[in-house]
Amino acid sequence: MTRSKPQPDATQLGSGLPTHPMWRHMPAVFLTVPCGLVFYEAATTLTEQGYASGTPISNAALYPRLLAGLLLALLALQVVSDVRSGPEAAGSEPAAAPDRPGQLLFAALGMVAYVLLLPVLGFLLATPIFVLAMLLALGDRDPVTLSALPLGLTLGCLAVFQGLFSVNLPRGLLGIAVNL
Amino acid sequence: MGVDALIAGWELFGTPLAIAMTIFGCFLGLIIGVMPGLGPLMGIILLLPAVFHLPPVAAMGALIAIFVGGSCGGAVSAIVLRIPGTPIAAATLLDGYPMAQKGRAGEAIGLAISASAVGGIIGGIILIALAPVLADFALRFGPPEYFALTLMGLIAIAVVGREAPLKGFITGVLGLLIATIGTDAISNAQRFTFGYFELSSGFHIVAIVVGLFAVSEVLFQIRGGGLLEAPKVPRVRISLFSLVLLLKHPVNLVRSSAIGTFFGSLPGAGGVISAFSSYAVAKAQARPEDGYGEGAEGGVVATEAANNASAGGTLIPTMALGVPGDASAAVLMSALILFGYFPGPELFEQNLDVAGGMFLAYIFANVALAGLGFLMTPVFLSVLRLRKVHLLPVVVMLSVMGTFALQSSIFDLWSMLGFGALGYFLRLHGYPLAPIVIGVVLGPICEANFRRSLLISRDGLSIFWEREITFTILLVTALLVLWGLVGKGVSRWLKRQFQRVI
Repeated sequence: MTRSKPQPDATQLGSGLPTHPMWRHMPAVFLTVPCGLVFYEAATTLTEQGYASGTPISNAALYPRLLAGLLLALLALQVVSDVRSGPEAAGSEPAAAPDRPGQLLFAALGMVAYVLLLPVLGFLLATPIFVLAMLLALGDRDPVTLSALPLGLTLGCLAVFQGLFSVNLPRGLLGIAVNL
Repeated sequence: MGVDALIAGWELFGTPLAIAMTIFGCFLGLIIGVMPGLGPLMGIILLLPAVFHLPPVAAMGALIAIFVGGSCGGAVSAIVLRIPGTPIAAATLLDGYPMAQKGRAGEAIGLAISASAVGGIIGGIILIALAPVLADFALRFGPPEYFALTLMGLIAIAVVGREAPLKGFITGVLGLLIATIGTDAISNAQRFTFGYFELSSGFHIVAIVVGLFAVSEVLFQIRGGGLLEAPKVPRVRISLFSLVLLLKHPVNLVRSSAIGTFFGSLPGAGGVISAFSSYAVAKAQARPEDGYGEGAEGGVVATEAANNASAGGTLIPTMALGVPGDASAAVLMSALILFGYFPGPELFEQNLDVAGGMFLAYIFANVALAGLGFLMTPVFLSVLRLRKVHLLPVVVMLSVMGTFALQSSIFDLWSMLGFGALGYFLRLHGYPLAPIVIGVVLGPICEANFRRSLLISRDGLSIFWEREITFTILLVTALLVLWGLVGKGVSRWLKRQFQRVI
């Protein structure tokens, strides 16, 4: 009996991973960093302040250290499990990359840029620019949508968050704001 | 006590604002549930920052109603497009889509909505009856029992119904670790803040959940492609005749609702297991001529009654013990905590009106579900025609503005993006995100009770096996861990042995 190899499915979690074997272990490698920080902080700052010893009430480092140790043990188990199950294991199936990796990168960088520019340009300037840029990056070329959605979303958020919930939206360095 | 809660709760819930917010939440939940890829959790997350400007019961009513509406909405796209809007609607397409292919889409949707509403109400009645009793029992619990309970809740989420329990353990512990960042509530020590003042209260739970789920979902949707595609959605007319069809399946309806509530009340089991289990039972009890899998009405009734009843079941441990059954319940619980009400016996002892208001909101949301479902299905179907390219900027803006609105903090936005990147990275590797949220929500409770237990213990850790209730809970937890680690291997071995014998 021959078993057909499962077809990669872009909607499945774990699909689209690079084929390098080390890529599978990246979460384990990455998650050891917070564990290291816990032990480092417990051995330095918390020890200096006297919070890394004594009774369970005063020992603020006890519980995080236990968790960090447990997390390291679980990560080690995961790596062993990945190695034993081989490259064909679920979650490591090399599959199709995103249709347009540029779109994904642009959307991610766009969000970062928006948060960076929000305090500089203010909500009223940064928001329509960001929404327009995102629509263009995602492939929308309809002039009606390209003009209506950035404007509509900006005004909608303004009405709801500032008008209804009295949130002070960022005004930016130019101090641009609308009083509702 | 349940009736007392309802009477006390009416004062808070019986206001035009609370009722209107519940109806609005249900409407929003249905819309979000209909859209493939988004679900009740996403709806709760997107509305969460906005509702903090409302009175507690009106706010909780809106969030609970999203939970209810979102649990049902996924059935519409499952029936019409064969794409379940939410994972919990996956079982509905087994018979819902064949019904639609036979020209009975309207009847299938009507049946799904009415079964969901009735199932939800049955789940609500069980919730009202059981939650106060369970909370009363929990009055006997001390710190060791609470520590054991939170641990069991977290591990159950990681293990039950998951393909990769070890990865669930890892993200659960990561959540517990994230919860330790900030000022230690017991000793006042600043932990892992690295000198950043903004971290002294830790990461805001809303920034965490919006980042993990909303931002990572946007990135995954972009990755999936098809952003400009508009699905062809047929015109469907719902008829009230569906209610008559529902009455043909009374036993199935009640049984599936009970199964749904039971599985919903088990942390980790939730709607998907509820729906598939009740479908399997209904199919087993049916006659061959009922044609399960080929458009049987009973299949739609079973799955939809069960998955909405499971929402009521999920609220039982959440409200009575402070142990959320799934990620949606964890976010609901954190909202309640942010309002200053702590789930568990304390809620029923000191804030019976709030608990009662939440019960009423849950029941009313299911009534509203029936009304909105029948009246507004054309609206929900038109939502299905929305292109992703137009939807994603809306989700991003709601995420950004909602997170910012909490404390007018740009730092929260950076946290949101950071958790979005983390969520995307972990999802890409098949790590579940729900245990992180449960870990973050349960973290402070787990730690406080662990340290208090050690303090009152005369002999260190022995307190955890000297007390009967604690020992029992920890034993169950240990079995869950064992099942999570070796269960898959045991199942495979048994399967091999079985095949060899055959």
